[in-house]
Formats: sequence, C-alpha cells, structure tokens
Amino acid sequence: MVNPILIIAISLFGAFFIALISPFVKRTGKIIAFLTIGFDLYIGASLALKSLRTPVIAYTAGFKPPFSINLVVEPFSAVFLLIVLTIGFLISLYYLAHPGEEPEDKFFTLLILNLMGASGIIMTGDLFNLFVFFEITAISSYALVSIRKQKASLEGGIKYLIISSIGSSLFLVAIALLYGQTGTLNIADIAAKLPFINKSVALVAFLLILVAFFVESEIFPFNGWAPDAYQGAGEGISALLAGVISKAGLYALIRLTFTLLDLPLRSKLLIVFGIMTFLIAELSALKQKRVKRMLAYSSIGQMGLVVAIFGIGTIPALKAAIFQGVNHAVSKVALFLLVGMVIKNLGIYKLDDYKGLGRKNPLLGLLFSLAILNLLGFPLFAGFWSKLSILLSTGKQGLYLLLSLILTGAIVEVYYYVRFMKILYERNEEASHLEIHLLEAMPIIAMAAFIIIIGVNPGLITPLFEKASEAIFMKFSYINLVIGG
Amino acid sequence: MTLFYILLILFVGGILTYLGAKISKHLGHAIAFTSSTLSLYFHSILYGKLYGFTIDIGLFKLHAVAFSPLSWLIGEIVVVIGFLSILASFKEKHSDFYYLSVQFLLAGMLLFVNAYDSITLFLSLELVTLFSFFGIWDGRKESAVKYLIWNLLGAYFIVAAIAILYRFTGSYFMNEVHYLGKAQKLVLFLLLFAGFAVKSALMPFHVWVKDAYRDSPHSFTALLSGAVSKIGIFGYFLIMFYTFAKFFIGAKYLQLTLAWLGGITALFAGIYATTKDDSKELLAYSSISQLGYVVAGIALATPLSISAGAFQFVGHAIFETLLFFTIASVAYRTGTTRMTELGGLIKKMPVSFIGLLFGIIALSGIPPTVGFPGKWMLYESFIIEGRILLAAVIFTASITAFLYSFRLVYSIFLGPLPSKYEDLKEAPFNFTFPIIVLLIPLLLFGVQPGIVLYYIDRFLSIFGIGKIEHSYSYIVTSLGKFNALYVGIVFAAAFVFAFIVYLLGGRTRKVHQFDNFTAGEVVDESYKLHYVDDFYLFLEREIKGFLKLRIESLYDWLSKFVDGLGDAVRRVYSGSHGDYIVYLGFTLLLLILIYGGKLWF
Repeated sequence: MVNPILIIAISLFGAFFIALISPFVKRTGKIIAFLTIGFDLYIGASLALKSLRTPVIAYTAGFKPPFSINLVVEPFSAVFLLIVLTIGFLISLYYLAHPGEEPEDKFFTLLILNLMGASGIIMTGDLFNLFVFFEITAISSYALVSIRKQKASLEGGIKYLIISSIGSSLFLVAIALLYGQTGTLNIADIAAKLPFINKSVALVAFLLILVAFFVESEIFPFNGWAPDAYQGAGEGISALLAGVISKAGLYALIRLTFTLLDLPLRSKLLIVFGIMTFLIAELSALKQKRVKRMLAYSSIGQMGLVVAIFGIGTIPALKAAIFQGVNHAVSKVALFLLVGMVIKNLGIYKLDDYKGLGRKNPLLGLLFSLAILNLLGFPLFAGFWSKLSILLSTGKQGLYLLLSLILTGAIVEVYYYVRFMKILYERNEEASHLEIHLLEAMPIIAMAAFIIIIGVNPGLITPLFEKASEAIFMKFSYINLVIGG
Repeated sequence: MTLFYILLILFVGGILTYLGAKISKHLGHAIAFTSSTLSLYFHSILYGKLYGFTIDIGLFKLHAVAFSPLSWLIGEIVVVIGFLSILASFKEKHSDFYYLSVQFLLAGMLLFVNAYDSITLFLSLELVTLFSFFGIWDGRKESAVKYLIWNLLGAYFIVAAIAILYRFTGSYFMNEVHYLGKAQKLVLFLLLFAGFAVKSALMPFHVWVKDAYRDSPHSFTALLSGAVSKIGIFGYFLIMFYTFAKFFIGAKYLQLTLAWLGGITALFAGIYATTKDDSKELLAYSSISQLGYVVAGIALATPLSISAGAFQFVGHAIFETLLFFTIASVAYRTGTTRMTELGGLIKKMPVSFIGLLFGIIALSGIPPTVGFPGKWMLYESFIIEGRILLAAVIFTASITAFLYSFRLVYSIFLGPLPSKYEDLKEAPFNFTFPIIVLLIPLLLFGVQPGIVLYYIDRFLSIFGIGKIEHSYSYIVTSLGKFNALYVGIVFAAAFVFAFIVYLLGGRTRKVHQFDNFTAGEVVDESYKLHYVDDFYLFLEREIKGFLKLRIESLYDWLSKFVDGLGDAVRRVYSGSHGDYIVYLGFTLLLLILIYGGKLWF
C-alpha cells in the first residue's frame, strides 16, 4: 500500500542526503532533487488515483484520530497534491539543464523541503501539523526568494518574511482560540464541534485564518510582498511561487474556510476580496515595464479570480475554480520558466528588450504564445473551458456584478498580454538568438501539450475536478471519513 | 457528419499547411489549396440537405446543426470567399502561420453558422475572433490588437448573455425562450445584439474596422469584409427570428430603434467614406454603410424587408469582396492603396478595372447588378410600412455611395498614369480569377434575383414570418411589380446603343498623356491633370462640424482613463513593507469591527 507519509519521509531523506554528500561530491544536488521529487510525484499520483475510489488516510503513532495526527488524501486534496507535485517535478526537470541558484546544494535542499511542506499542508488532517508544514514552506520560501545575493532578491525576501510571519502568527492565535474551545486540533473534529463553539471566538478565529491565508494566496491588501518577491526571486522560484506555494496557501484557505469553519460570511468575503484583487492586480500590470513584475501582478490577479470563484461555493463554481487554478499554474509556470531561459541567455529584464525575440526564436515564441493564449482563455486551449465554466457558474448564481467585473478585468488582461506578444513578434534585426537546451524546454513543451490536449478534449480531466469539488462541497463526508460516523 | 469532416479537413489542413510550409513554400500552398477546394466541394453538395453533428467533449456536448436555411447560405459564402482569398494570397508574402489562421478561421465560421447550442456558438465565435486576429496580425500588429480588444468585448457581451440565459432556462440550446419577463428578454436581447453588432461593425461599435481593413493583408480583407462580417448578420437573424422571435416580432419600438441604428450607420459611414484617401479605408466605411442597410432591413421584420436585408447581404458578400479583390490586385502591382498615388491604370489593368466598375455599379444599387433588387425591395418595404423618414435617410446614404464609388474608380483607373507605372501589367491569375468568378453571380443575381429569393423563402417559411410574391425574374409588392430581367435587358440595350453611337461618333486621335498643354504651358508629371487631392474638399468643407463629432474621441478618452487608473492603482503597491503591514492590520481590524459588531453590540 502506498502511504502518504512516504512523500514526507522521502523528501526529508533526499533533502538531508544532499546536505550530507555535498562536501564530498559536488553538483549532485539537482539530480537528487529531481529523483526525490520524481519519486514524490509517483507516490502522489498513485495516491491521487487511489483516492478517487476510496480516500486514503494514514495514522501516526497507532491511534485513530482525534488522538493522533493523520494524513488524509481525498479527491480535493488529491487534485492539489497533483498540481503541486507535478509543477514541482517540472521545475526540477527544468533545473537539470538550467543552472541552479548558488550555493546550489543548499538551494536544492530548500527546494525539496519547500515541496515537502506544500504537500504536507495539503495532506495533513491536523491543524497544528498544518501550521508546522506551513512554516516549513514559508521559511524555505523566504530563503529561496532571497538566495540570489542581489538587492532585489533580498528586498523581496525580507518583505515576504515580514508580512508572511505576521500571517502565520495570526494563524497560531486562531489555532490557540480553537484549541481552547474544543480541546482538539484535528480538523475534522473541530469541524464537527463547530455548532458548540462560542460564536464570537469562531468568528475571530475565522477572520484570523482568513487573513493568514489571504497573505499566502496573494489576496489584496495582504499581498504587498508578492510583486517584490516574484521580481526578486530566480525565475524557477517565481514559477514555484505561482504554481506551488500560492496553490498550497489556496488549498489551506479553502480547506479551513469550507471544512473547518464553515461560516456563512465566507462566501461574501472570498468574493469581495477575490474580485478586488483581480481588478487591482490586472490594472497594476497594465503599466509595468518589467516582464517578471508584469507576470507577478497577473499571477496575483489570477489568484484573486480563483478565490472569488471559490467564494461562490456551488459545485459548478468550485469545479471552475479548480480548473482555472490548474490552468493558471500551468501557464504561469511555463511563462516564468521561459523568462528564465531568456534571462539566462541574454540577461534582459525589460519588456522592450524582448523586441523581436519570438520572431527570431520560433520555438520560444510559440511556447510564449501558447502559454499566453491559454491564460487569456482562447479556444483550442484549456483556458477557454475554465474561463467559460467560471462565467457560466457566476451567471448561474445571478452574480451579475461579479460577472461584469470578471469580464472587465479579462479585457485588461488581454490587452497587456497581447501587447507583450506584439513586442515578441515585432520586426527587429538585432534580436538575439537563444541557445535553448531541449531538456530545459522539455517541461514547457509538456505543459503546452497538456494545454492543447485538454483544450481539445476537456473531458479528459474534468471528472477529476468534479469529484474534487463534490469532496470539498460536502464537509460532512470529510468529517465522517476522518473520525468515523 | 459531412460538416464534421469539412471542419476536420480545415483543421488538419491548417496544421499540415503550417508544417508543410516549413519544408517548402509550394508544398504549403498545395495543401492549403487542396483543403480549401475540398471544403468548398463538400460544403456545396450539402445544398438543400439537413446536416449536422454532435460531439461529446466531456465537459459539454457540442451540437452543430444546419437548423436555419441561412446556415448553408452563409456557410457557402464563407467557403467560396475563403477559397478565393486563399488562392489570391499565394501571390502575396505571408508567414507560414497565416494559412493556418485562414483555414481555422473558415472552420470557425462554418461552426458558427451551424451552432445549435450556446457553448458551440461562443466557442466558434472566439475561434473566429482569434484567427481573424492572426490574419490581421500578418499585416500590422497594432490594428490586430485593436481588432481583438473590440471583438472580445463583443464576445464578452455574448457570453454574459449566454450565462444569464443559462440561469433562467437551464439549457444551453438557443431555442426560443419562454417564461422570461419582458425586461429580462430585452436586456438579454440587447446584450446579444451588441455582441453581434461589434462583428458586423454597426455604429457605434465600428471603430476597429478602418484599421483592421486597411492594415490586413489585401486578400484577407476580402475575407473579412465578405465573410467574417456575415457572422454578425447571422447572429442578428438568430436572435431576432429564433431565440427571441416572439418577443422581437411583438416589440415594434425595438424594431424601429434598431432599424434607425442601421439607417444612421448607413448614412454616417457613407459620409465618412467620401473623405478617405486610402482606398481600403474608403471600402471599409462603405462596407459598414452597406451592412447598415442590411440591419435596417431585417430589423423592420416584415417579410419584404427581411428578404431585402437578406438579399442585400448576399449582394454585399459579392460586390464588397469583388471590390477588395480589385484593390488587392492594384496593390499587388503598385504597392499602394492610396488613391492620390494612383491613376490611369485602366489600360494597364483592364480586368481589375472591369471588376471595380461592376463592383461600384452594384454598390450604388444600379441594375442590372445584384445591388439593385435588394435596395428596391428595401425602399418598398420602408414605404409600405410608412417609414418615409428612414427611407429618406437610406436614400441619402445611397447618394454618398455614388460619391465615394465615383472617387474610387476615377482616382485609381482614370486620369493620367504616373510614369512609374508605365510598365505595369495586369495582376496575375490568382487575382483576376476571383474577380471574374465574382462577376458571374453579380450579374446573374441582378437579372434573376429569384435564385436567391427562393432560398430566402425557405427561411421565411421555416421561421413562420410570411412570404413575398416573386418568380425568378420579377418581384411583386403592394406598390407594384419589378421585373429584373426586363430592366436588365433595357440597360444592356441602352449600353449597346451608346456603344454604337460611340463607334459611329467623330474621329478620335490617340496622343500620349503628356502630349498636351494647359494655359499655354507644356505640362509634365508634376502638374496633376486630374483631380485627386482633396477630392471632395467642397463637401468636406460643408460637413466640417459633423466630421469633428467622432465617437473615437470618447473611446480614446476611455482608454486613457483606464491607462491612468492603472498608473494610479499601481501606486498602491508602494514598495514599503510598513505600508503593507498597515494595510494588513487595518483590514483585519475593519473586518473584526464589521462582523464582530453584530455579536458584540
């Protein structure tokens, strides 16, 4: 039997193995990281497949919950686990041919730990355990963001550290409040006892958790750290932020507000903050002159959109939100990795410096265009279906204002991305030729293939999202699953 | 399933063209030619049949059914013009991706006119938008971006309507809607109408047309104007006589408003067209203006006016495409579309001249061409309905059509020939073939309008609108009878007579154009013998005030506003972590105060 604990164990082993052998054997970090994360992905994928039939629960210390810490993989967490591990795996594949940040061994140790933390957040069924994994992810992220010894990286890292640690301390207070009321830390157990908790305490705990994970999932006005962190970090790490770290934060936000503290005001708050983030971020992206910063704002905007759609809370909406989350992860990671390839070759950061690059390097241009068109939701690409599902589910609930705001933001988004595409394909004789290592381009080509296959036949993947959305929608099935009915 | 195979041919053909062109340009051309020919053939044999398909893509089921006779008609227009446009584009310089875009675009349009559910409708609409964007992209990118933003705006109106419709009907089919309040129907109808209005360039959503038509590759412009604009027209038919049929037939005020919108579009666009120097810009406005007639006709919703509108859009597809092809051939040889730089090409490019001549004759609605019966029916229907003022507006618009058509033929083909064009030849076969092909229906439908009208009858009877009395040659209305064949014969006889008079007339002596003098001076090329600069200066002077009224300035202001907003919002991210902590703390406090308040006080 595949045990979810293997992901944690293997990752820890891999991470410390790098540290152990690095003094003796140089430059093995990336290979060990690749193998470890590959193995994680294998375990994660088999767990996910299994969980679609019967959810997987692993107990520690031989007791049943609520007396022990448990790991739960049910369809909703399975989808997020798959996203996080696949993206992590593709990033580690990218780093096989792409130089890692210096010092390389520490970098890859942190990368593995970060993914381990993210998978832990997704799998754990225990509130305090979640906090621990959250801290592991967050602290390794600070280090990963600022590992490049440049002013921008350090600045991004320190801002991330300050804001995020405020968030995590708020989370800790919330845990304490809930523990004081219920005497348990098990998520399912607290959820079952929710009707007996003092209303004010529940409310304050809810708001604290909301803010804590709004910080992680880059929701305005708690996302001040994000543009700087994205801009300062190495491109692979920006991809990690967009595809893994923010997604883990999103998972925690949704799990804790849907299952743990299922308060009616959730819907309104998620929608309002989500759509506000979407609009503000898209408008901010409009005037950016640096590619990475533009992508950062777009990333924030997409997270806002996803959160807003989660806020609607119906099964079609949840499905659409998950679908959009996957598409955003794929597209944005591809874009950041491509930008990384450009920076490695040419060392350019500004939008205007990209003039004619796509025309000169057809493969680069094609991949950039595919990722952009997918993000903008054009047909033949997966993004079309997710955006359509979003609009339909929003309309179905009669949220016309939200519908029109989404469409407004989408127009702005189209404008600045197409402008970027225009720059890529402008006539420019002096545009440089890029050396693209095939291995380096491999993860992006894989993502492009995913985008097109799902774009032509979305039915291949949507049943998965359907199950996931049903799983998160019915919180009692989760409670029953963990503590037994 | 034939339709499905046609789409497959176009999609696979598009991809193969792209890959084949990487090996050799000719291989790519051959594949594109084959796939467009096949799609033309297979679509043509669908005439009069019921066809369609359903595929399940998991998330949704896509239904494409030729539920309206117009589906085949517009589909046929699409494949014919598509074929001609691809043929002509072989002579132009294009990127490999261009041919893929054109074939995908054709597939998208075919899917659109057969879309039976709103998902397929929106999917195909977005396909059309995206791939016509790539077609224009091959010409000039700024215009393509403008096109994309505007057309996406239209598509977003439509998707919003689809989402709301789904909420109330619980179904994705575009069937007639019942159980909706009048106000809801009106809002949904207007949302959909606005969406299609962007595609068919109805004012005030027309501003993208000038740039897109001017800057797109010349053979692609013919496709844009001839076929892509018909998408919007098909959409009007769909919502007016199918989805919202009962509502729309009963809503007189709405019919009249939309008809006036069409009339005003026809007039204003006609006036703008007279002031343009670039021949493609001129034709762009002319295209907008002609589609305004169509809208005015179908919005009035009587059997005669609908027939008039439908006939007019078939005519528009023929003559506007023809005109763009003639401009394409001129531009292919001379490298310019600006009328002030052209002149005297009549002897150098006779086929193009004949094409353009008949094109403008049809455009101005003169028999024996396809332009006449449609306009005649349109006027009759306005008069029968008592809409005299609207008829007057449309009539004035026709006068502007005379003005700009005359400018077009005069500035390009008449007058002195610039010496740099002395050695010019007629455009190659790829351009002359479409011109000759399009001349056939242009004249045939002009003298036998019944060919088209019998087809339109099917539409009228299936959707229960009524019928008009006609045969192949004549049309009868309550105001009288018009026999296109007789009129055609009379015009031909008059022409023959005039020609005989010309042959019998006084002796002529041929001299070189510069073997000439004026005011006692020998002229050279620096002195323009014909009038091209500021062609309609006298007119422009009179309407100066009107020309200053540009809706574009409103849009410019709006885009500047959004830009400024972006700059302002960007500053929220001040970069100081102190600010961010304040944001965080303040919002958290605010939340606790707002929501905690209920519990505490």
